[in-house]
Amino acid sequence: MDYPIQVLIVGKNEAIVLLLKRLVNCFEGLQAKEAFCEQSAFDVVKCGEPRLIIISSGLSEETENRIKENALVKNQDIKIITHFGGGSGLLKSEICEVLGKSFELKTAV
Amino acid sequence: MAKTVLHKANTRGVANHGWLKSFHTFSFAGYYNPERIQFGALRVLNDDTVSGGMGFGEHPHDNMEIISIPLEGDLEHKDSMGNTAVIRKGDIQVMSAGTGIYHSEYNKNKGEQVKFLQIWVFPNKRNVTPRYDQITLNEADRKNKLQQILSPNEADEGVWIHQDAWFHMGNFDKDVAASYSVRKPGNGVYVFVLKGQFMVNGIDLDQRDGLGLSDLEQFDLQALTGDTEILLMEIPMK
Repeated sequence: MDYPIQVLIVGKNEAIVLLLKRLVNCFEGLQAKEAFCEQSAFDVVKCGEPRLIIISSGLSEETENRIKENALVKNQDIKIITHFGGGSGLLKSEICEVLGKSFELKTAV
Repeated sequence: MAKTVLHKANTRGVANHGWLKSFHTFSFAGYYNPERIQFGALRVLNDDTVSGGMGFGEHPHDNMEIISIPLEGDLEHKDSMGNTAVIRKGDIQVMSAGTGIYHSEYNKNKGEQVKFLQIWVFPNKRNVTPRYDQITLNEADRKNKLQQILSPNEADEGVWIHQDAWFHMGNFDKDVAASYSVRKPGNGVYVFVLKGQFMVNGIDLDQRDGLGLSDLEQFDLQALTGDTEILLMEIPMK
């Protein structure tokens, strides 16, 4: 896997998305971008190479599904996390779960 | 045949930040154990002790049913919906974080610690409108019996959440027994001993041990010591 792993965080609650971005960027080997709407998410997927998408809060179920489907059309190996909790509580577990045992998530010093 | 999973108290994750000591039954924050992620919809069971006057500054939550149960001391809560409240032993607080909420939690007293459980349950629907509630329970109603403190139904006893979950607490004298019948077929029950020792479904449990039970309709519990306290959390397994 190429490093850093590009991560897209998408959600309507901007403050929470930006907090998640800051938290993700604290992990070694991860680099996050944000999107606050469906079209912005499509643009990031189209132009960038996100390997991991974190679905944050405030999006409709239909929008969440379109973002997931669009991403998988672009790259069927893309990992998608439907995030719960809104902060650091579950984030590390969620990322470790999808990236698998080969990826050891360390906080950057 | 019932399935069981036993989490002894001393196998929990620990975070010691000086002002905060937290035991994590399931993976949380910097503690990650792939064998300890969740029990059904029960995702977080944190057993927190906060030093006098200290606490959690403003921070966000979303898409989670967050239940706080104070065990000792006074915990002051403020949130972005305009709620300011103090919860203490005998109270239960619930937040449906939904689309997003900011809140802070501080130990209101400078001279004594506060101990509380923070429990996170996955909601049955994402992006609900955030809500907050707290109630004071009549602790006498749990003497030698199980008292319902949470359910999915607004009109039912205790607080309610967006999930088919039922929580009960009980204080039992030595040798007093009770039984619990699962409210919704398919649900599991996570048993957490707050004080004393119990036998639950034939398994001995010490203080702060956790026991997950699933694929059963009913089970028995019995206090093995005096002045005991137990929390039962029935939650969906799928």
